[in-house]
Amino acid sequence: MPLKAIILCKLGISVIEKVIEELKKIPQIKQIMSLTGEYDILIEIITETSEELYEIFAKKIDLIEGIKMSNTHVVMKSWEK
Amino acid sequence: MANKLIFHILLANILWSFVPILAYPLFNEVSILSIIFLRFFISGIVLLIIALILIVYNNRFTKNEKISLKLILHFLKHKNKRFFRARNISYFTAIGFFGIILQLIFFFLTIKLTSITFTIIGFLLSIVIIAIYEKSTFSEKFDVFKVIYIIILVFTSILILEVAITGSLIIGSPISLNATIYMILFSVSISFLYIAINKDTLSKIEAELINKNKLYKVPRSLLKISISFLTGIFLMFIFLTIILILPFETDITQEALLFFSELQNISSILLRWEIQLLVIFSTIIPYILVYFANANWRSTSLTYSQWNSILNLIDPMGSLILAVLLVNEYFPIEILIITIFLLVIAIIIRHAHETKNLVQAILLINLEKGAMENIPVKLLKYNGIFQVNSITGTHDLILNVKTNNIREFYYLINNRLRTLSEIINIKILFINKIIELQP
Repeated sequence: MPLKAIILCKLGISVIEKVIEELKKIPQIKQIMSLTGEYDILIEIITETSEELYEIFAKKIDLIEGIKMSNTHVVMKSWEK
Repeated sequence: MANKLIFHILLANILWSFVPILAYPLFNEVSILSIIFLRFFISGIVLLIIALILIVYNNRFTKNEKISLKLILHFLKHKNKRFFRARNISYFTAIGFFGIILQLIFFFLTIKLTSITFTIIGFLLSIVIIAIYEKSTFSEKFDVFKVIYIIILVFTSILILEVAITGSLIIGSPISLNATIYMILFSVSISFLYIAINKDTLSKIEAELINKNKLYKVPRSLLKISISFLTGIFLMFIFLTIILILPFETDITQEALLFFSELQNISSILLRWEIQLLVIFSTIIPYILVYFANANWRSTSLTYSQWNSILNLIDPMGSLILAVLLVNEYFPIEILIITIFLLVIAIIIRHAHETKNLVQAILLINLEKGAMENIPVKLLKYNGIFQVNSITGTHDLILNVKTNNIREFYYLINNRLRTLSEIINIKILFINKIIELQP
């Protein structure tokens, strides 16, 4: 069963374009939103397992220069209309 | 995918623009009411059958959540809070009769007494009526783009009116007061249709089902429109009977008498290719296109109803061009070019208005203990909330919100969300840009 997670990130100054370009290289990332407020970007990621989520986060996302802080939330259930 | 679905709306409007062209040659031979009866009775039956086939297919051949008869009955009995708390069956009947049947009666009467060109003014007038209604109910703000849009439509209407008057004088048949009244009534009916059809609400059970079974939206929409058509036709008979009882005669009286006399041979009228094209290509296919688009819409910017509002000028524009090219209606080519140019500009300005004012945000919500079971579906029913995610971590819910303007956003946050005792905290993150990667 696919696992969906939402990662909220705070970025450094003037790095957003560079960070987005790096994130675009990760195929599991479905959507990136640039935000105004407490966080700078939202990443929507879908993986097959929690291990895969860990691998992508630890070995790719967390290593991107420009991301100062992140908060990962696993989506338990989703409703849409 | 969103771009392909915009094409669905565009194609549907192009197919609808053929309605007056297909009906026009029949006016001297059959009653307009026979055309309306056949169009919506046959389409209503076909769309109902398609809806039922989709339900059977879903229940028998897929592993999706079942769509039961009990659910359908619940759907029909559900009270629509946005439409006078009327039960859905009454809401659909109102749309069917006042928004569709009466609209077509006045539409065809106007064309019959004047021209397609003159009748187009009714479309443009209805957009102005809807704008005034939205302003008066504080659901829409008039920004520069909206004002320019309305000015263009008013100016274009005046241009078309001048041409229509000139054309009517050339053929020696001036536009009568009756025809003008029918055109205004057509405009009012179509305004009612656009306003009312957007007041559809999902019940809690339906909101849950849609998230378990995406297929449900399509048969639901088809059921809605087929019931609207069929109940509208039923009320049409009652309406015509009342018209015939009235002590004075109207244009509709004559059409009603002709219609009732034609009922015995209605199958021969059905065999006419104009009626068959009207039913299949200008009714069944466009409605399937738009409901498929609505069900699968996953826009990262404008919603399905916003794109509908932007592209709805394609229908009258298409009718105008076809009326000049195929029906040989009087319309000097230079004025036609200016008119089409103005309508295209109006579409672009409407798009700018919808895009400029759009507010998209992510809301991070904290709930009080015990609220998780009921709150997500309750929130999903609010206008503007498109997605609710229950999450692990420091927050309980992430909401994906999209409103037409900041006023609507303010209303959602302060009059809806902040009034819920279950919500302890809301953090608002406005979205600047969305980048869709993999589908």
